[in-house]
Amino acid sequence: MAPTSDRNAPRPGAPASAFHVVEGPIDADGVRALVEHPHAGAVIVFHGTVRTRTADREVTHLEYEAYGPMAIKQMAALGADLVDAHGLVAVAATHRVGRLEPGEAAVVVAISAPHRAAALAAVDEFLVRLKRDVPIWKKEHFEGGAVWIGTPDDPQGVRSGPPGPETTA
Amino acid sequence: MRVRVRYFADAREAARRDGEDLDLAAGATVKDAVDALVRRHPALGSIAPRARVAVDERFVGPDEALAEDATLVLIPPVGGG
Repeated sequence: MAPTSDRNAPRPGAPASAFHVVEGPIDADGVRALVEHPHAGAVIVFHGTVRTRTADREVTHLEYEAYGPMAIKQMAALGADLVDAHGLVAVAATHRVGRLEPGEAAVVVAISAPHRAAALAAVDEFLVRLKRDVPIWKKEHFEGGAVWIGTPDDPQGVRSGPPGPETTA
Repeated sequence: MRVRVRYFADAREAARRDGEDLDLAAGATVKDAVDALVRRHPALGSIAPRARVAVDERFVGPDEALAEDATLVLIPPVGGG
């Protein structure tokens, strides 16, 4: 007799269709829905939001730009890696481009796993690698100027790996 | 051989355009293309050394051979999230 549980339900994994680049506000519930699954004992939904900086200048807004098709491919490949490495159920992410105001979400990442430890670790790894390998750029606007993050003009310095503290996430 | 070039972020601002076509000799490599772009747009000279290059939506090394109609994109340091 066939099990009545979800045992045979397909694992969503990290299909390319779970990754998006959008120009308007992110539908976080929609991102979460892409990873919900009966095998998941943990669902983490991470919002990376725009914040003003208090250290050396006040950020007025951010501007994101993406090489969309490649950004989606890279996020999907990253998600698939994490599914394999951490035994996740599913990964989905949406990144927003264009002008964003403080408080708005630039990225929403949803990860489900059988247990929380894997999901939590995978969220962090997704963000670290997003900031390294996904062709999305951020321009920080502040009183008196603007700078592309990661360039020599960026007062936080040239980045060669994981992000500096100026990033939202 | 003609390849399509697209620019983003500070590379787009330096080249003052979103993209353009580039004619190269048959057998040209990624490095040949980037060198030609820097000659065309000297402002890219400070960006190209820090940029990775994607061809047809995949990161490639400088010695990769280009094919007709390939799309080449300079990828300066990214900053998503």
